[in-house]
Parts: sequence; structure tokens; C-alpha cells
Amino acid sequence: MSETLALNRTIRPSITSPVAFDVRLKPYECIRLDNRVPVYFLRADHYETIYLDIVFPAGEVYASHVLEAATTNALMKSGTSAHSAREINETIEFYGAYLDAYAESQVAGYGIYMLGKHLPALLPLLFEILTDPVFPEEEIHLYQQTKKQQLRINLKKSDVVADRLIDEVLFGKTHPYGRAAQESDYDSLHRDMLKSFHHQHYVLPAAKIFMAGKIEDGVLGLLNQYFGQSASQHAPATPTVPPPAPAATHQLKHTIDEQALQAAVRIARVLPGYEHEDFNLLSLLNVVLGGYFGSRLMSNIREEKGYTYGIHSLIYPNDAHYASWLVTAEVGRQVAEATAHEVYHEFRRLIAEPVPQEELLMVKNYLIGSLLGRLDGPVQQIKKWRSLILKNQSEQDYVRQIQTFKTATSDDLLDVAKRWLLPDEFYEVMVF
Amino acid sequence: MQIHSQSLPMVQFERFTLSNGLKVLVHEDPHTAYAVVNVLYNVGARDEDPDKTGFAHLFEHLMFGGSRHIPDYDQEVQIAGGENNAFTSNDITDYFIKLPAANIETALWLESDRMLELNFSEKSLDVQRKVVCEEFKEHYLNKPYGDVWKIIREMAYQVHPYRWMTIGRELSHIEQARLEDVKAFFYRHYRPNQAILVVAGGIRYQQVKPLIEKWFGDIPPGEPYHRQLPQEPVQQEKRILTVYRDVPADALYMAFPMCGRTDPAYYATELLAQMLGDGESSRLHQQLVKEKKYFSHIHAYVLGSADPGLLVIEGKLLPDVSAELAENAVWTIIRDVQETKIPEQELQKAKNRLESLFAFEENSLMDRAINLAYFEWLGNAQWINEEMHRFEAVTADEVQQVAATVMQQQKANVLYYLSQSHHKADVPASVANHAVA
Repeated sequence: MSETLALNRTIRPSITSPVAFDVRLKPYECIRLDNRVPVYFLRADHYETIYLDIVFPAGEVYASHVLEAATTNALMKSGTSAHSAREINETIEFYGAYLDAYAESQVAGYGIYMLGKHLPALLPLLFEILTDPVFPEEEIHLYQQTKKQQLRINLKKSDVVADRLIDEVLFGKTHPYGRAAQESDYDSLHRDMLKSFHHQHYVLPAAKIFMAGKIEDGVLGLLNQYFGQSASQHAPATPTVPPPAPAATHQLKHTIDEQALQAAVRIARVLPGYEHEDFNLLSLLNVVLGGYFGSRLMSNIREEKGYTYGIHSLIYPNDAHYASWLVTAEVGRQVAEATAHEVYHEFRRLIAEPVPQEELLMVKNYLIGSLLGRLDGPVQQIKKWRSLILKNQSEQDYVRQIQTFKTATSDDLLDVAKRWLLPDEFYEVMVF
Repeated sequence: MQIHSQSLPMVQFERFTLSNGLKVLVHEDPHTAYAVVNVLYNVGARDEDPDKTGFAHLFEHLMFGGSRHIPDYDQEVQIAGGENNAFTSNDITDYFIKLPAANIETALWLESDRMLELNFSEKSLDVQRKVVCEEFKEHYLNKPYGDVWKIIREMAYQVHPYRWMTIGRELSHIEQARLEDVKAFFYRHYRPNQAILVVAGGIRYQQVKPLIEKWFGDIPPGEPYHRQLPQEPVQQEKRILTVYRDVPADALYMAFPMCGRTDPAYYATELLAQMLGDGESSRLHQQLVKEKKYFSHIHAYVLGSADPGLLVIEGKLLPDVSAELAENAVWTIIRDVQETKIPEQELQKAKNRLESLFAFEENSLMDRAINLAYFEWLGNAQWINEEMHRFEAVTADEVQQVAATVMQQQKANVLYYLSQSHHKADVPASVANHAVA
């Protein structure tokens, strides 16, 4: 054991720097169904599972009522001409499948996780849900009841209230990215609204299909049999997103509980969207600021001062033109102001001093490593492709983004920090 | 319709034990360029002194405060392109790093150094005490229904240390934690002979075995730890408690003592909970949400702990439905499952849902690594490949038998968690917190 005695634990083992890795997406295959609906897919036959996602241009930006997109999507599975909600649930659950019904800002649809062997049994039902929902009155009523109760509970949570308020402060109360549902919005839901939204926006030829996993012979034929046959009825509308109408004052304090032990703090601004030339550098700068465990905000506010269990920052890309840069934390009530002060202090440091080389290398390694890690497995990979394709981006855009992460210098970051991280341009919400 | 699950792939692994008692499992996955290093320590909240609760979890935080030769754990993980985290339960504490397989040695270096000796410092303890107190406030004090589990555990467990949550019984226990307690806890529980190391992913057994021997081989073992916990006596009478809180909706919780994770009856109990209340087609949801409209949601699940756990039913009531009415409706459904033959189709549905869950867990390298460590800790890592067959083998009669044994009135712990403003506008929450029935 002479070797182990000589072990010097202070010397770190050599590593392959993740920055040196060639980050590539596994290429997808694509076919078009008879009605031109594209199917993007990755075969991974050593898995038993299939993930299938059918996406429509039916997101929040198309809705005139705050709940129109989300409720239409959620209630499509609550009854079709041929099957009741009970029968639908029974079948999906009998085959052990999990439905992910979602309405995002641009798109809405259904993702389904299932064992590959059950796809033939489940596909006809999924087709019915997406093309022939009837929105039974009783199911709408039940949904209203449940959601109103959930809202009442959520409005007791400082983090939820703070998230609602900061969006409203940044974009305005009526903006698709700023509006938040009130109880009265649930009361004003009605069947015609949902039917009409479904008819307008769940138009099959406008759909895109993404799939990964055990895609055996016959699967694509089955997809074509169901989803490839309906021809175009009408072209889907193009959404118009109004410009943000931010609040007049930059600071908002809101109390929901006089005795609250913690305050929810949100500090945010609107940024240009993913088509802007600074977007990739800003994404990297965000990681330095608050995007990973060793970030500036975590080191200072959690690990140095112990003010919080966690503080994070993220850039949420709303669309090609708008993104939100958001710092979030739940902190001790007494240190809410001190936390905000430290957040602005970290902004100023990034504006004034270049990020040291060692820190920048660590951030790059972490970021490239985690990007690679998130591409682990076919479901994650097709989701990355989905994100690019829905943004009208190509693999080249992804390669360019990775290249920016790899080659950015401290001066590049200083430069974008000076443009976009000025404390005066941020908005602040505190909920007690 | 019958669906059988022989198709799930086997999780392959190699196993060896170092001379200091560290158990090691290596799982090769040629489909990934990633690797996971997972260390499970045989210590959870049940191993704590009743006057010093929350310690195992506080300790989990301290494990990131630097070790003897490596001042900054997270920084090293991040330089190697990795991500890491940990969790503590009432039974175990589990640490994991996911990183590019090419950098596997960094993870072994880091984990071995903190197993060798932690960098005990007042500064680290002081900060992590504050962080955990904020975590306590964020999740258990400042959230509606945040104290539900504190109450249920104290109702259902009178002597067993499952009676407190992993976060701790009260903030003061964490606030008063001393460095000497921390050191003693480390040398009692965080030793190689109390740990299971799993290395999984795009690595080769032949390549990592020498690295594991290199980094972990010279860590001294600790004294053997013999767990001697007071076992919970069989509950003989129904316990019922009403509390009033500042919440918008009344809620009902029912907890029934059940067997431990390695008991053969566990599988039937899990299937029973699935049938009763997992998913929208389950009995509780279908009858009490959809048909009777007593609840906005209701579900059932088991706490699969090593020592006897709990089968739990929880739901939020719709306005103007009394908790008594709702509870009686749940009992009607329980009686039905006890007295009427369970349809094969319904049992098969529960099995199919579990099969899917297993299949998707097996897609994830991280889940595979954590599960291998967990099953090895329970008794044998090979069980990861046998679990689904054990569920498949359960009959409808066995589920019915479990329903009859577990879900009896005299074994029920029932909590009415009521909205203060709806029921007693003039009674402050702190005063109204006592049993009324």
C-alpha cells in the first residue's frame, strides 16, 4: 500500500476541461405526414419508453382572456364526442401513461410519456383529445371550483404573489406576459370561449410533432393515420405582442401577512429577446451573477451572510424580442432590505470590475458541463431540438451560442454588464 | 386485458467491498458520456437525539463547507463541469455528483476527502445554521399548511423517532447546534463502513476500481453502529385532532400505520394506495372529487420508510363541506375496498402505472445510481431488478387483506386542518391548536 501512503490529497486530479468538449446535438430524423405536419424524432431503441409531444401555436399570446389558452388546453382531456373524462382518465392511467398538458407563452399542446408497447392503444385517444374536445359544462364548473381554491391558497404564499407582481410591474396588467388570473377571471370562463379558442388555434396542419425513444416499425405510419389526414381549414393567426408597459415606480412593497417570517424578494428587468446580439453573453453573465451554486449571489447572500436558503437569477426568454431577467429569493423578513442592497452591490461589481479569469473559466466549465448533462438521454435531446425549432433557430445558432460561452472574455462580460445591469433600470418587489 | 412487464431491461452492476468496510457498486452505461458518483450514508433523522433534532439534515449542509484538504467543494465540482446536491430523509443521507465521465476522478477525490475528514469550522456552522433556519421558515413556517407534517408525525408516532421531520422538531434545536455535537455526529455516522458508494455511467469497471481503491482505501473505519430504536407500539385507538390555521381551505389528513419497506406486505400496500388515490381515475378522486364534489383534490400514497411507515390520504375540501362528512365518505370507500372483490383490471392498472414509473426512472442515470445505492442499503442492490416482479405477483386478495388490516378505525390518525376564518374568526391559531374530539 505504499502508493496510498504517498497519496497527496491537496493536488486535484487532472481534468478534461469541459470547454474543450465538442458539444453536439444528436441529429434528429424528420418526416412529414400527408398533410405536411412535421415529425421530428430520435430513435433510442434500448429504452422501453416513448415521449411524444404534439405542439400547436396556441399559447398565451393568442388569448384575449387571461385564462383562455391554459383552460382550453387543460380541459381538452375532460371529454370528447366519444369518451367521457372518466373514460379518458381510465384509459390513460390503465396504460400507465402520463400526460403533460401545457400552455406556454407561444405554444400549447400535449406531451405524453408512455411505454412504447402501449402507443398503438393510446394514439387514437390522444388524437380525439386534441381534435374533438367537447368541454362539458360540468367539467368546466369543477375546474373553476378547484382552480379558485388553488388560487386562494397560492395568494397566501409570498413567493407566488411576488412572481405575479413582478410580471405585472415589468409588462403591465393587461400584457400577455404581465397579466395574472383573479377569481373573477375563473367565473367568466365559459364553454363557447374554450370551444372557439380550440377551433381557432388547435389546427392540425399547423402542429409540430416531437418524439423520442423506442420508435419501432409502424409507429410513424400510425402517426400518419391519425394526425396526417386532416387538411387545412384555415391558417392560424399570427399573434401581436404589444410593447411592455412597465410600472411608473421601480419599487413595490406588498404585505399579505403582518407576522410573516420571510419576505419574497424579486428584482427584475426586461431584456431584448433571443434574437438580440447580446443575448448569449447575457446568458453567460447571468450564470456568473446567480445561475449556479457558486454564483456571486449565492456566495454572498447565502454562503457568506446566511440570509436565505437560496437566491437565484435567471433569464426567461419570452420570445424573439423580449426576455425577463429575474433575481428571486425568499429571505428573513428583517434582512429583505439588506438582501436587495447586496444584490445591487453585486450588479455594481460586475459593471466595475472584470470577472477574474479563474472564476470565468469555472463558470464556463460549469455551464458547458451542465449543458452536456442536460442533453443526457433521448427525451432531453429532442426537447432541446424542440426549443430550437420552435424558435426558428438552426443547429448553427446553437453552435454559435456554445462558441460564445467558450470564447467570451472578461471584457465582453464587462461590456454587456455596463449596458444591461444598471441598478436604476431594475424593478423591485418585496412581499411580506 | 393483461399486460406483463418482463420487458424492463436489467440494471447490471459489479460489487466489491474495501477493507475499511466501504461497499462499492459500479454500473456501466455505454450510452452516456456522463457519470454519477453517489454516496449514501446510513444515517437519517431517526438516528438523532430527541433534544437535538434536525441534525442529520444540518449536517448535510455542512458537508458542502469544505473538507480537510479541499477548502471549496462546490468550486471543484464546477471546474470539472459537474453539478451536485444531496438529500436527507428520516432513514438515510445521500450525496450525488453528476459530471462528464472523463472527470470521474475529481468526484472520487472530493467524496473521499470529505469522508476522510470534514473541515469543521465555527464559521461554516454559523452560516449553515442560518441557512437551515431560513429553509425551515421558507418551507415549514411561512407556507400555508407548512406544519401539517409536524402534526401528523407527532400524532402517528408516539415513541419512534419518525415522530419528527428531517428539518427538525423546532428551530431552537438547529440554532443551538454546537461544533462538538457536529464532530461527534460525523465520527459516529460518516465512516466508510456506514456508507455505500455507487459509480455509474460512461465508465469502465476496470478503470474506476483502482481509482476507488486509491482514494477511499486508506480512510479509517468507524466503530460499528448498532441502531436500537424504540419501536412504535401497535395503535389501539383512533386519534383525531382539529387545528385552526390561517388557510383559505379546510383540509383532511388520514394516516394509517403500515409495514416497513422490506416487509413482504409492502408491495400490496403500495398497490392499495395507488388504487385508492393515485391519479384521476382512482377511487377517491373519481368518487369524492368528480361525483360527490366534496374535495377539490384528494390522493393517497405510502411513506416507504425502513421502519414501519404510513399510508396517507390527504385532500382539500370544497367550501361548505364539513370535515366529518368528508371523513365519513372516505371511510365508505375504504369499507368498499375491504368488503368487495377488487376487479383484476383495476389492480392491473396500478401495476401498469408502477411499471411506467420504473421504466422512466431507468432512463435516468441519476435515478439508477441513487436506486442502486438505496436497494443495497435496504438489503441487496439486485432488488432493483426484482421490484417490478414483486408488484406483478401481488393478488387482489392480498391487497384486500392489507386494506382490512391497515385501514381500521382504531388505527387511524385523523387531522382536521381547518380554516380559522371560516370556523372561528375570533380564535387565534395558537390557542385553537388542541384536540376537540
